[in-house]
Amino acid sequence: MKGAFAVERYWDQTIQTMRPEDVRERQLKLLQRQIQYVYDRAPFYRDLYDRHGLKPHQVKTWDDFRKRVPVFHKDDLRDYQRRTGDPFSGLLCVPRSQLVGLWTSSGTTGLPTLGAYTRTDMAMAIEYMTRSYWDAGVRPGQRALLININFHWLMPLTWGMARRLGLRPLLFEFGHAMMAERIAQWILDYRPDVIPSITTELATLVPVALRKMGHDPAVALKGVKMITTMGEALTDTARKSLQQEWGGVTVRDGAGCGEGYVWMFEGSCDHPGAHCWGDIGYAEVLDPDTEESVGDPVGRGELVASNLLVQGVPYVRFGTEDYVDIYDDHCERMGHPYGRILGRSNWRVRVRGKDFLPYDVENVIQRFPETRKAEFFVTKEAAVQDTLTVSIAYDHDLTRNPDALRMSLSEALESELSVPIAITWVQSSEIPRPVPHKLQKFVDRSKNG
Amino acid sequence: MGYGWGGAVVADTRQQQKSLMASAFATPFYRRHWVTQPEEWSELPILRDSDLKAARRDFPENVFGGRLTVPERNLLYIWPPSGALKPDISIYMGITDDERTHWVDVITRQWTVLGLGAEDVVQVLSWSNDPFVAVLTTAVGGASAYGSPAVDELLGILTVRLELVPSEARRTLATAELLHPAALFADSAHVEAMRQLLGTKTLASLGYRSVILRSVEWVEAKTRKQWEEAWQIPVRRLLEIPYALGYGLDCERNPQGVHFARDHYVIEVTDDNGHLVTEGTNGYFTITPLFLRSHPIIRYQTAITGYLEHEACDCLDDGVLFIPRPEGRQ
Repeated sequence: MKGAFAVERYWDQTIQTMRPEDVRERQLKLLQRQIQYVYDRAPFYRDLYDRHGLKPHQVKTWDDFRKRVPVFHKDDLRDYQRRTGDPFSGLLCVPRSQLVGLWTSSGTTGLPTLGAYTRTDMAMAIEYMTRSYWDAGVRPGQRALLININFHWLMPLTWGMARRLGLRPLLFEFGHAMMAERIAQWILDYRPDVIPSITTELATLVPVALRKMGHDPAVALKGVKMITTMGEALTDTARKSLQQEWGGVTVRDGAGCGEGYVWMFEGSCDHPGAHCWGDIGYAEVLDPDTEESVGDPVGRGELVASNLLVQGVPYVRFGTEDYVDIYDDHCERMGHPYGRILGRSNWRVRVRGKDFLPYDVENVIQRFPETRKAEFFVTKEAAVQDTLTVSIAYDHDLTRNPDALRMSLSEALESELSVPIAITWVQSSEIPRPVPHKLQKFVDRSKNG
Repeated sequence: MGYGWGGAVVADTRQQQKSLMASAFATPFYRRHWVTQPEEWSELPILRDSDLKAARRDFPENVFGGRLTVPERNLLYIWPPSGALKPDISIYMGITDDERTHWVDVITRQWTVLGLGAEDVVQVLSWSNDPFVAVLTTAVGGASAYGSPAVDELLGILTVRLELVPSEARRTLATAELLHPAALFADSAHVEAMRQLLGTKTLASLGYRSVILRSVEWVEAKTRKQWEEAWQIPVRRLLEIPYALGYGLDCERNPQGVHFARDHYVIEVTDDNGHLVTEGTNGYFTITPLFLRSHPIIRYQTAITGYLEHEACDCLDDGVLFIPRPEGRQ
């Protein structure tokens, strides 16, 4: 917790500019300690490790870690919960009385699971987020609009970050699309400098709402210096478009799963993609089908997260089911890998031997004004398919000739993705929403028949 | 009936009223609203929603309509009162760390009266810009990991924060099945949505001991009784006055009335002209949060009608009870 040492674009220069080999050395030591800690305290891990014949003292090298320590997923936790009735799925390592915050997962992939913070864990989580925002230029006294969801893991972090940085936060509720006009009014009233978490969908709709209210968005939003979009992967097209619509605002992307402590909030550097702070969490990228490493940690695959310091509900080699792209370009914070979350691992559709995610489609269709809202879903018809099928809702106010639009979209998608595309028009209301702040952009029909 | 309020406490309240009047009169809003520096509390003009709305227009330099007595940066957070709880979203509220501490005290005492304590799990449903959640849980609120404790930490309770919107009832039930909470703070629409999903199960079978209804309108005793029969669980009621950070809990002994902590609020009943009415006479519920110094709300007259009774019960501080009469003035 080194806020006292913050200088210019480093919240904690010593930690943030550690050499990669130093970060790795520290990570291995902390992982060894954490494996012993969870084995001694958490019944889920004792059961898991015993079944895999793992004793904590056997993990001496990175090779031991990769070969011996099993990866687990949310379904393993749900199974444990069903078998034992333990709400924390056997992960809780401290008495319940030490927990000061409890959250549930958003339930995107099934029944929500529980997470919790001790006071120390929460402070560390806030530290993680504060670094990125300080580095991004957010400073004490600035006005911030905090969008929150009560049950979400992010809420204590954004509140805590605002407090830690001495911001002047205005709280506003659930970032549902129907809130666009209200939020636009609050922006006009409060004139925020920064909006630390706004859903990509809502960020798209705020300028539309302002226009309806008789304001020029580029002027009304000129005072906003930075927004961080959350909820869905931010495509390059969407980023450019938002920057333009919001009068030149800096658009950062933020994402993560609550359990990981390997979250991705852009801000520290100008390159796209966010650093995962390696002194707090350890990120790996594995092929979701084989669980083999696709790089160390560079590559495209499933993010597997380990927390290095968490005491309450620790996760060691948790398969997040988030599909990420981790880069290896040079950067002074390269001890801490950086990348971005593209979607969910099980949202992949295999067409003619290539994997596609909704992100790949979104990046293209957002270039067309009629489909800029990116209300669509891709359909997995079979394990392997010849055509990528996409259902899209177009903006009725902007579309004169749907047939011509369909042709233009097909051409653009086929040119970019190099596979045949089949487009079906749907109404906006037909796009599934598992939770109010997220569109479901992947539908699996492969098991129907 | 009850134990005496005590002369020293009455004197302390008067002192607080005086200093609140003095600091408020230094603000542009109250200087205009009151015109002259007041001598007596009872002479102060009452404050209505229309005054607060007009102030936003007349004092546009910040969102508090000329009422701020401290620099805006001293506020832990600011919020527009929740649309879900019906007040006008253009009127803003805020809170300092000190004010939060007082408010935590108000709610901690209510939770104690409700029988909530160590090891209990409590589900609190709100909108996320609803200030209620800010004082209840350590996980959020201005304090977060760094500041003074919230209600749950003081009482050793684990709070589960959830959304008030009825479409989230499934999540409320899912967490209840895992954690068996002792109490649920929600509105009736959400509880009804839960009941639809429960089928033949009851709320009590999930571990709930009571449901506490959150509302900005008074829920009558007979309606409460109907809910209790329908939900098969004891129901208590919170009366919320969002602009005044006013949270009153219904009386354990006299279900017709509601208590507001008298060391934190001045409770009065006033008539159409803003004059005090005598005990037992109907009028408008009028509230002043004594702890709210950063942007004072003084003699805020609500649309809720009813009367005060000083000998209505022997619980809480001194037995003073506000008895709402939803049918309006007689």
